[in-house]
Amino acid sequence: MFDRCDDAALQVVHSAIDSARGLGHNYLGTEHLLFALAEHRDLLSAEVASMLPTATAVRSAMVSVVGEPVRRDAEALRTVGIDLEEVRSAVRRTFGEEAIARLARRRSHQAWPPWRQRSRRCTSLLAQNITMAPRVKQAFEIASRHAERRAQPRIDPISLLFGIVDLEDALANRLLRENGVDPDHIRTIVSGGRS
Amino acid sequence: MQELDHLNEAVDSRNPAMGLAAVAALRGLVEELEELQVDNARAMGWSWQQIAESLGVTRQSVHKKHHVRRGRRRR
Repeated sequence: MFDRCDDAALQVVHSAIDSARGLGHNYLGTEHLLFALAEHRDLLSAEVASMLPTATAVRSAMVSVVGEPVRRDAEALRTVGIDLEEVRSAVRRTFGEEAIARLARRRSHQAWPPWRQRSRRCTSLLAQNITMAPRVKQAFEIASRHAERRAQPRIDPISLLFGIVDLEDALANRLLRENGVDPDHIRTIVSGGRS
Repeated sequence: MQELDHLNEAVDSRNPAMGLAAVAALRGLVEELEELQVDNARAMGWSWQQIAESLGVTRQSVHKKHHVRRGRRRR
């Protein structure tokens, strides 16, 4: 999926993964991609960049909806004498990485919508590898088609943004709306291929 | 300084928000461990009856909770 991205889009993806990790989320969601696009708005055209909320605004909207579940849980467990890190390594030794990755995948695919609000059920405490949310896969498919239509050999940040705003029920769009930005407006501008 | 840290910790752990969060986190952890252990037991050929006995619950409740989950995954 990432092999279809150009260097700029890859930069966005890596930054999105970093932000997910920093928040203690073990999935990559459209909200993290939106955050990364807002952070790297210099990779978009000035017109589109000016429509995006600030990265800080996206981040605080994200934290208020999704929270920082794993970090908070680890802290709470410590108050009753449980070191989540130790539990993780014990489980990893017993069952192996693969079983834990399977568990995390199962959780991140749980019923939509809006599954991430029930973040405790969807975020695994044991897994540390980041899994991709189903919506992100869809966003990449849409982005790929959008890039083709624009005769771009690879997905660039503009197409990535289109992939996100085209998915009406993606959490990223809820965050945009909460920041007073209409995703449809961005979609219209971006779909023209003007970049 | 260290004493102050201990004091802070004691106050923190008496805070209901933190205590309840710990309970919720433990519950989440139990759920995950249960999934892993049940999957492992099934892979090793354990019957639902055996698993239920070890977990201290009825066979029906284990079956309902895990067979459905595992079945849905396979289909």
